[in-house]
Parts: sequence; C-alpha cells; structure tokens
Amino acid sequence: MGVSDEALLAGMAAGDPQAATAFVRRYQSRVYGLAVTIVGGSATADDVAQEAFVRAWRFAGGYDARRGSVLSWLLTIARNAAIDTVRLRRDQPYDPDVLLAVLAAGDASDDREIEQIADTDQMRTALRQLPREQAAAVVLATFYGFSAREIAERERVPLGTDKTRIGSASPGCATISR
Amino acid sequence: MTRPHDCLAMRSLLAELATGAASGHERAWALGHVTGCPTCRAELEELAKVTDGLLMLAPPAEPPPEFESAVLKRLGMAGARAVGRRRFSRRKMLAVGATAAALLLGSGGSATVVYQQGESDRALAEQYRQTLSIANGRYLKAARLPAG
Repeated sequence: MGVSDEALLAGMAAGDPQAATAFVRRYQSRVYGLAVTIVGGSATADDVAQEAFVRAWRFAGGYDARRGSVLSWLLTIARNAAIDTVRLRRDQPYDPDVLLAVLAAGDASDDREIEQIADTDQMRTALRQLPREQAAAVVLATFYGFSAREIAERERVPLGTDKTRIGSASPGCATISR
Repeated sequence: MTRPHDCLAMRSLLAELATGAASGHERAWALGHVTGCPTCRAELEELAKVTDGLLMLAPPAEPPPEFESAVLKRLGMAGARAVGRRRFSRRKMLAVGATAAALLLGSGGSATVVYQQGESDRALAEQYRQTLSIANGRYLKAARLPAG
C-alpha cells in the first residue's frame, strides 16, 4: 500500500524531501495537465505548475480533508495559479469551444480510485449534454475564473441572461453528476 | 437573520463564489450570508463539488523531465536526490516523535525536549504541530517515516 495523499502532504509541509518528491511525482501530470489546459503548452505552463506546488507546500496547513480530496484541493490551487498568470496577459484569446473539446474528449482516467473515474465520466457526460452556451459559460467561469459580467461581455449577451445561465448551468451538472 | 431577498441575490453569486470569480466585496457578503443560511450553504457546497469535478476533466500531461527537481529546488529541498535511500536524521525523528507525544498527551514536558533542540528542528516540529492540530490528529500517520 502506498502512503496516503494526506500523509505525503503533511510530510512535504514539514520539510521532508522524500515526502515532497513523492507528492510531486504523484500529482505532477495532473497539475501540469491542468496548467496546459488553461495557459497552453509552453514554458508558462511549466511555471504555473511549479507555482502550484510551491503554493500547496505553503498552504498545506489550510487543507481540510472534510472539504474534498487532496487532488481537488491541489487542482484548485493550480487553477488559481494559472488564472493569476492568464490575468496578466489580457490579450490571450480564450476559446471556450477549444477547451470544451479538450475536456469532452480527454481521458482523465489514471491509477486513481474507480469511484473517482466514474465521477469524472459522469461529469464529462453532463458537460457534453449541456447546451453549448451553458457549457461555455461553465468552463469560462471554472477554468478562467471569469465573472458573469465578463462572460456576458465576451459572449456579447445581456448580463441578466448570463447570470441566469451560469446559475442554471452549474446545478444542472451537479444533478447529473450525483 | 437571513432574508428571502438575500437568498435571491445570493443565487446569482453562488456560481461565481464556487469558481472563485466573485470579487472581494461580493465574496465577503456572500460568505457572511451562507454562514447563516443552510440552504444557500448546501447549494454552494454542491456547486463547489461541480467545480472540483470539472477541474478533474483536464487531461493529464507529462511535464518536462527537469520539472520535479525544479519544484524541489523552489521548496528549498534541492538536495533530495537520494530519494528512497535518504533517511530522516535521528534528531529530526526525535523531534517529530516528541511533538507527536506532546500532542497526544497534552503535556508540556515532552514539548520542552523538542524546544531544547536546534532551530531547524524547532521549525520542523512547529510545522508538524500545525498540521497535526489542524486535522485533529488525523495526520499522526505522517510522522511514521522510515525509522532508524
């Protein structure tokens, strides 16, 4: 049996190089994959993924197992690190359709628990089943941290409509993903 | 305490809150609201799970070969080449063990043992203490590193 995710995180936070190495090895492809998905495959993705691990090490004490898995927590950190970078480069074109294609086609299955793979498959199916506009709003908010106002401006739809759209789209996913 | 029109305002904010897109001001207000409103809190938790699930859909990708060493360098653990062979020093093991004992027994006596050790050991022990206390001892297993 391998060491638990929580134990590795605690070990890394305590400055144990062995735990830190194991932690990075266990998650680097997921973290780097998310970074590439958001900022594109480049040296920037490398920087973002590195930054995510540094933040995880720094904020390890804030991890709360009751709120979700270590992987979820780490991916949220990676997402935030990517958004911080993306925000600095406002000229970058965001194409929700490209992102949707990547997410819908991607095979995130790896050696994690079967239960998690099932969840992922359900989530992917839910995303595929959403109308394009709703799915675009959901991924722009989730992966790029766009607010409802920004999505409305970008997609050139009235704000009121879009507020409703994000609100209605996400619970839709939630229901299907159960 | 919570008013119906607050919940209505909250509805449009929940998704932004869950995805981290809400502004600081909105965030503060919304978090204040969910503290006193179980319905909105439950919905926020559900949305946060959706966000987590969506992030999982990003396909994994292998980083460049030097990625691992670059991260360890940034963590100040660049000397961790001998992974698998490297052992915790005896002093560190003692510090960790004493910290765990102090936490378990709640006694000041064991903690004093830790305190008499060097600065780095103290910092290490402090980090362990924080981690352990946050999780209510859940991470006690984390101290079970290779012995000897």
